Amino acid sequence: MTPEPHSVPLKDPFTAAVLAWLVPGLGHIYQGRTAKGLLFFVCLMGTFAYGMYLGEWKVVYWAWDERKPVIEGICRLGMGLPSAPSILQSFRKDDAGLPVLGHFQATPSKAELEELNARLSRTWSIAAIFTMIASLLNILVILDAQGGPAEYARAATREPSQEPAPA
Amino acid sequence: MIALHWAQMLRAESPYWYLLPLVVVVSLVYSATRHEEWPLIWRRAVRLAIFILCFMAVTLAILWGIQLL
Repeated sequence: MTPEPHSVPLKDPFTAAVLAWLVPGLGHIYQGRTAKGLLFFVCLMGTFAYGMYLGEWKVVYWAWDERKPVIEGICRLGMGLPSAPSILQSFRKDDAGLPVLGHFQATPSKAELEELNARLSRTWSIAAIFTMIASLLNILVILDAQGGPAEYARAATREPSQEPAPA
Repeated sequence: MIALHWAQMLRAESPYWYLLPLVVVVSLVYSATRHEEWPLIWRRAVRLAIFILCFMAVTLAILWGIQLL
């Protein structure tokens, strides 16, 4: 197997990481690694959107009371813009809906949550898992945008020790 | 008996089918974050997907065996 070259154009790694957090793949597109960026965008946004579809577009939400989905919410921090509306919606005081967003990713009422859990049952959990896995995978994508592929970093740290010791 | 169990598991409405897109996405994204060369990414992704599926099948078989005890 031929060894991989150990140079990847990372441009400004911090900007790339922030862009990758906002939208999966955007950091790579910014760096000119377009094919990888598109792969990440399609895979992660597709998984996230499919999870939302399975959960009837209500599985991604945030609340500050007992409805708070703690583990799911923490996992979804890996996705910036796709899960940001849920945070904005959690500050909504009335049922009018936010401008532009309407009720997208709005916090469901307790009765609505109970009804969704009872009706969708296992599918509700699967939907949440899809959105969580997409968000967690985006953390790997952010690291790749910030520091390049993991194997390159490993090779770079291994190389100095392989040099012959001075006599 | 075993064939019946596997047939039930693989029926159209089985939740196990949701595993397939997840395995594909996880193996592709994981491999792409570790390598930059496309042939290597595809090869490692296929290998990882097979490993995950085999691991889950073995785990399922063990759990099924324990259930029978």
